[in-house]
Amino acid sequence: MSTSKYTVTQQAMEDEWLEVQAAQQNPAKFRVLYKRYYEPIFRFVYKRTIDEVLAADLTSQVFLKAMQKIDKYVFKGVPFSAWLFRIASNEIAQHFRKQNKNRVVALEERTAQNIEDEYEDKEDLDINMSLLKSVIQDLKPDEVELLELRFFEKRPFKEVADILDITENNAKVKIYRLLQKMKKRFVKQKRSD
Amino acid sequence: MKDNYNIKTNPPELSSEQISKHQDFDALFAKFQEAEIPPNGETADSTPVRSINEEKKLSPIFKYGTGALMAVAASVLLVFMIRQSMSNGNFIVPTDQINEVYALQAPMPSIQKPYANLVVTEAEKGETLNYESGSKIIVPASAFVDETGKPVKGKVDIQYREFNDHVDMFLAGVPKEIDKHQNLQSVGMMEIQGFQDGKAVYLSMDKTLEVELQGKVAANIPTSDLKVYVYGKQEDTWEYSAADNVEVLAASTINGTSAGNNGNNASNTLAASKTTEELIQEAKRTLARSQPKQPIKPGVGENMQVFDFDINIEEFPELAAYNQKVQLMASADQMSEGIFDTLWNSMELTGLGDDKYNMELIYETNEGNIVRTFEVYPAIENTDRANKVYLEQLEEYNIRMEQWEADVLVEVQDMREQEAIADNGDWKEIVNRFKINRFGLWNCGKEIEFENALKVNANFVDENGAAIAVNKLFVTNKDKQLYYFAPNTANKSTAELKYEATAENKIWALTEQNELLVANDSAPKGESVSFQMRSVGIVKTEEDIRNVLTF
Repeated sequence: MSTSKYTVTQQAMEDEWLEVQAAQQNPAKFRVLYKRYYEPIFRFVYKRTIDEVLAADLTSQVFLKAMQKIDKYVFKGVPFSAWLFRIASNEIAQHFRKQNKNRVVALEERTAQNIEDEYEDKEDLDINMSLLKSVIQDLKPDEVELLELRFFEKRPFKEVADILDITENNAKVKIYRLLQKMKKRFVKQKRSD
Repeated sequence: MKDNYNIKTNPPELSSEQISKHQDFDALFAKFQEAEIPPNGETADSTPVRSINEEKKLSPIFKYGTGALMAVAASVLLVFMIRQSMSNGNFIVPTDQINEVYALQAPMPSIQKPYANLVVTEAEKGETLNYESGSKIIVPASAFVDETGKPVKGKVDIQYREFNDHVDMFLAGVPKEIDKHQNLQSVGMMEIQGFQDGKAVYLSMDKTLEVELQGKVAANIPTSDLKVYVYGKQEDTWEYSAADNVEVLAASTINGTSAGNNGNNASNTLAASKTTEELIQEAKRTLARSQPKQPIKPGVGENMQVFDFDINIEEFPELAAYNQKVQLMASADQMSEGIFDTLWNSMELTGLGDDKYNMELIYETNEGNIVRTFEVYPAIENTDRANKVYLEQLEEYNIRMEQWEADVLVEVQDMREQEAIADNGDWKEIVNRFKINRFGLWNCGKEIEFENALKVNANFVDENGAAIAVNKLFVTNKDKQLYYFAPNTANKSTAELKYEATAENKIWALTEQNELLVANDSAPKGESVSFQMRSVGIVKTEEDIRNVLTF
């Protein structure tokens, strides 16, 4: 799991908004935000590239973009980090698109079990890595992103929603549907094996 | 197995120390300051150019020489202007917007979708502008500044146009190159610029314009998936701006018949076949498994019979959570006197979910078993501690239940949209609501992947089978509402082409002389695909183009 420093209390978000406003006036004051979020953003990028040098490069690009666009940032009751994660997500997608390469998805051994644990009715399921890989290959990019945020990185629904710029309810419904879709594929794949 | 992702198993973890060695704010800050200086001559006084005059091509030496000179001059001018403005009026120069001013590269400059000139009479007061399509732009007071950041007063001309389909996008030269720009399934696109006395104006840093852009979306796309993008010239990419706040006006059939209630709350009309209550019940069934469980109130209700059982807690771990002697209770109405007079041989307990169990009392006889079945519930001993736990759990339950009910309403909205698709056709008419913080090219849509894209080496031949050189190559995919063009075709009779062969596509090209060619037929030829291109000649009007490029 990433070392999430997700600010969730209203007070913390408002305090951070003051820091963002200071950075809008004077870009040198961005340093405090950079220091706070460098590691979470780096890990976010690394999980989606599994290449330390590339992750460093893209992370640097994310913060450069953030500094260039910070004057447009408006506080909407959402932590500042959600905005950074969104920039990171776009940078990663843009990188793979420009390189014309398939995007990296990192799986850990325990992930298959974690996914299986999401289902109450596990009778027809026996999710192993090979099955999970084959089901992921069939998913759309936005579904893979949901999977990563919610199940690989174990982020709360609110954080998933903020990063994707959707409502918390919408995030829940999307994740619920994704699990149902994956379950059908797990069962189908298992039967065809 | 498909090969859409590069899946890596158990990748190495990085320590915080490994990560922190890449951290260098000073280097980043230096890079930021470097990038802040406008990169070329398209700066403060560059007015957007909306067409390319092919006749006035400059020789490379003259072009680069003049360009370089102009770049230097403009940079000097800009730096001078920034200093002037900072020292004189404390205005913030809209450098970022100035750098993003972009002229679309129309492939056929003589045929263009014209701009509508919408007038803000007094910029200091603001105004709501209406476009012929029904779209609206709400301009707040004092929304504009000039190139020095000084507020603009008086009359401002807003040049505005919308691109509704692949023909509009093609004619405008919208940047949608395959594999370079995102594949955006567009549901509404517009270009907007502002001028005062022919000179560009910009949006004030603290102002946004509210846009209500009319559009349409394929009925199978949930509107909650739609997002807003703005084209960024410097990065040459569609930059994500915000989620698209979409209102569905109506669904229409393939021939355009409206099935909704235009402009009103169409959702009621769309789901006319099911009442709201029916939809809510259906949504509740769909989300039943995520519904929070109500905690069990300690004590035994009236008219309930309590049973003490020696339950195997390993078999029913959820009962162990109560951390006390497990009792089960059933409604006394289910019991007859005989129940208590019988010496039952065995009892079976089956979980039904939601804290309900099925209890079977079994009496074995030579003629077979006599079974009595009851629905039973766990009973919690009524103690102060149990009541305290219950109240805490109840509070949490109420919060989670409130969230769950909101989830149900989201599901109902989605079901209404789905029902609209099933009942009413292929498209939804929508209004895309979003805010813009700069002028330029704005696009509402969804980023999509080609699921079954074929990458082929294409050969182009004329109707007699002779090789024909194409200069620019375009594709539209009807199924995905997607328009894009191929890179670097550059006057050759071959090109690399990516498209979904299973979708309904239109493939067309322009020759160096701007002759329009439309793919008639395709056939595999060795390892490549041969496209027979029918010449339409040099077209003069949009209507002629629509005749050949409309599905």
